[in-house]
Amino acid sequence: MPQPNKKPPSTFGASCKKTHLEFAFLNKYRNIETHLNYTTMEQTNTTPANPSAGKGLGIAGLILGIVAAIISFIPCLGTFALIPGIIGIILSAISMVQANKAGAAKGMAIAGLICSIVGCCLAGYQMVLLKKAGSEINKGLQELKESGALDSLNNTLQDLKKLEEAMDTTQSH
Amino acid sequence: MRNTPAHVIISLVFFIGIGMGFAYSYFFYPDDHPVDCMVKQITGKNCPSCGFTRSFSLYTRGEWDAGKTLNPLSWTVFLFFVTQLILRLAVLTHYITVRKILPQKVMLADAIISILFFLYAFLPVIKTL
Repeated sequence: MPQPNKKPPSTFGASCKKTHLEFAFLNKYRNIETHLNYTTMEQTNTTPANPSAGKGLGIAGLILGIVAAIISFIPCLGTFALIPGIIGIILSAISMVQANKAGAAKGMAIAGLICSIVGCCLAGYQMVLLKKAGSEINKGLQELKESGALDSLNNTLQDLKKLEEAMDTTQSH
Repeated sequence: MRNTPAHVIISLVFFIGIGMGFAYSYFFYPDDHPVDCMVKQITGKNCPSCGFTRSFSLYTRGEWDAGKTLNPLSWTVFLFFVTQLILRLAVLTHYITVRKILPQKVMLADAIISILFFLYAFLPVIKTL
């Protein structure tokens, strides 16, 4: 007996189910992928590429800055603080730029910069004071020259020398 | 050296520097210093910091009163350097024995104490200008 024309079981539903599952899987996978991408992006934003970028220069800058600050507080010697101060500013600035580029910590560079600037400012202040004192001494000397007091002082000194020589000769006789 | 914490390197540098300064003060006699004051050479008068090296020389030999007579302001400055030498040595010994970075609070306290003592010691000196 011929069997009735049985329709073959349609695979439409199954394929639909399959595609649905695939779609869900893909969707989930995509979500995971984007999440992973997001987290890696976040990580790259927070953790520096090179955490020790500019560290050496920062240390050198801070040491020179402290030395400059200490020297600048000593009267008369303070003008020499300009040398370590300026070098400290340069090194700290370079270290700051390097740390900025790498996203590393820049606290030491900032501290070095502050110390160096304080040292340079005080050194500059002492330099101005010394220049003022020098110009005032020069003024006083010029006034003395103009008034003729220096000439009379020289004459009296020469007279004193002559007197001293005369005293020596009389003593030797 | 590359992995050494920054504060340890800074402490080492200052320990060596201050130590060398004290050694110089100890080995050169007060009347035989090779460095002369520029202001004294020009004007013939003492400047506010004149007598610092000589008094440091005397302090390192234990002659406190004689050092104070040369320059009374030098005593606090000398004490500042002595405390710095002790603090730097403490930081170095802590790192050598424990091999750990100092806690943030301790480092902050070290910095604040150093700055305050520095101002206490050096402000009277700069005020003489």
